[in-house]
Amino acid sequence: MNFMQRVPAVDNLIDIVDLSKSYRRGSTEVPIFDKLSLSIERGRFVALMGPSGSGKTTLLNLLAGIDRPNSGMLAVDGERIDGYSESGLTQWRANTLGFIFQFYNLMPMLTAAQNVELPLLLHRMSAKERRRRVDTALDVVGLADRARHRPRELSGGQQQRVAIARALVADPKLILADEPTGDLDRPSANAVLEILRLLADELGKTIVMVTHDPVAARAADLTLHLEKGRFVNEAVAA
Amino acid sequence: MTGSVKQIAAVARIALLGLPSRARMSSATVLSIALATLVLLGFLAMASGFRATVAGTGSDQSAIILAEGSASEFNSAIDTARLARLDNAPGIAAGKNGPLLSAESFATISAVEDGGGESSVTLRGMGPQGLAVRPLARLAGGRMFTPGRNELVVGSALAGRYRDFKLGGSVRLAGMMWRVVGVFEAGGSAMESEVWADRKLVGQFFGSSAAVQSVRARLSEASALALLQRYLAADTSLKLVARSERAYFAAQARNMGKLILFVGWPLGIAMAVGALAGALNTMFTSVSTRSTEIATLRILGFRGPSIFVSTMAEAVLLVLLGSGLGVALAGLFLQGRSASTIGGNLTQVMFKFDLAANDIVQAVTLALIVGVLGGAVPAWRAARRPLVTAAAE
Ligand SMILES: Nc1ncnc2c1ncn2[C@@H]1O[C@H](COP(=O)(O)OP(=O)(O)O)[C@@H](O)[C@H]1O
Ligand SMILES: [Mg+2]
Repeated sequence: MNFMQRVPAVDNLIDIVDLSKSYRRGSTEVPIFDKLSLSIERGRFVALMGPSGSGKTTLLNLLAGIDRPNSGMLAVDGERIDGYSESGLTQWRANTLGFIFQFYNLMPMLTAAQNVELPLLLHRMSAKERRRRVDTALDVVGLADRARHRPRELSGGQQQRVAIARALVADPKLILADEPTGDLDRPSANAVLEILRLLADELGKTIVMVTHDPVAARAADLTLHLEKGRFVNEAVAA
Repeated sequence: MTGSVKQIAAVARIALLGLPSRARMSSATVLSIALATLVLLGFLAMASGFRATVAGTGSDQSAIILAEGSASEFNSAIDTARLARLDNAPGIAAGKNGPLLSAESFATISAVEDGGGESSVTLRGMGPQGLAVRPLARLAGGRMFTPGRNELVVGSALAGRYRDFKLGGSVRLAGMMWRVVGVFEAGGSAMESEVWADRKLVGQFFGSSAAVQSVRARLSEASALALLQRYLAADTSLKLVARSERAYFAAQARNMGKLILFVGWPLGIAMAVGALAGALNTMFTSVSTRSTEIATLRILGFRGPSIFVSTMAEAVLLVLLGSGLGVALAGLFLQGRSASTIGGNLTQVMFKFDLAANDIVQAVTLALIVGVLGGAVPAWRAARRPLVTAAAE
């Protein structure tokens, strides 16, 4: 890949170069990003802040391969995903990504363990190995004793911790979170942030978290501020 | 393509586990499919039963002679001059009093059922050999009527259904009393729905226009039919045609069976289309209530085709439940039930609903078509919906 020659020696997990994205609204193009560039080092826990409508979710969706850029380069761990087909992106997400939603998005009729197991069904793995991984993931989020509970039998904070276990169980390189504490009270939010911190420190995961909460942002290694599709803390943006 | 089956199974499981929360809509779909299946099976079973009954009416040992150009006894007329010339025809079995021939005509009478309803019954006027020319018929009780007397011999299907037609009973017909002196059986065939009497009396009192409509002949052997046919064809002034009884009734049954299916299929399909609208609605509701769930799975890395297949699985499961219920209801309430038809050239024929395996296959196939059509579009939409909009929910 020719881009490898262009990246500096730093070990970046995410490299964005001249990324442009716009949406069509009726007959007009509404630009969201115009030649946005950004690099994030492996193992960093990054908070993404900014006013509503500044493009945080759009950026996260691009990083997740849920949405596609109009132009520019988007690489994760040296793999360019900006040109991937939809099914290519699906496969890539299964192998590379953990995603944490604001409203947890657990399957209500599955138990915590079954929810956590879902991403593992996308990999060739024995049932025994799956069980071992599910147990470990639930252990990491402190819910080993809730494995057989269904989401409605858990508090919001506990549900989000199950969702974190689901995001980490397949051992992804990148974890993306869209306002993971947005729906939680302070103690629950703190518990969630503590776990995310642990994933970065102990497991070396790279985490990008969209948040409105300054307390949450303080748990991260650094905070990127988006405004009208641009980073305003120039020091961090590439 | 790692673990496609596991993937599909997991998504289908999630969809099916969610079924109870969509119970009302889903069961409406199941019921509408069950109803369509039941109606279609009703007609198919009717046609099967009818064909079995009527097709069993005829024998190869007996011939039915009609005027040239007549498809049935109903619109056939044979004058007495031509009738006399049949006495010398070859191939006809000999009896004590000459060849075994019965000149016949019939009228329609109305009879009061035990339940109170009135229905039309065929009154067949025949000669004294009327029983002898019918290899499949035999007296189950009593005796044959005496020529010239107001006596009836009734088919066992009627005897079982009308109090008046019991052996030893009397019926008022054409302003006079008629005594039931005999009951005949004919192997459960359509013949058992007839009433027999002396042809001359039937012509006299029931105003059947033509003196003779058909002639029934007992053949000396099955192969003698060709002899008789050649004889009739040789004399162009005779204008008579002979067919085996079996061939005659088979043709009648085909027409009537077709008529039943002609009504049954469009009705079944109309109901299936109604059920299809319901199934589509149910599946659209299902995928839209599950849209967050489906989007989440796709973001986790579950592939579109898995979503499609598992949504189809839900639709197919619903229609299979529905058609299974329909088949069960048909088996419970229709199978073996007696019915009767009025019309065609057979007046009233009693027969039993007969669910054939083939009928069930056809009804289930129709339901499956409904399931596949009803599931495909919603499933496609669920699998293809842009994730950006899906993730925003
Ligand atoms: N699918 C879309 N179609 C059209 N416009 C969109 C779409 N998604 C987002 N936008 C627009 O892009 C801008 C950035 O949105 P978003 O990334 O959701 O901002 P944030 O998450 O920071 O609130 C907004 O003006 C929004 O209206
Ligand atoms: Mg947002």
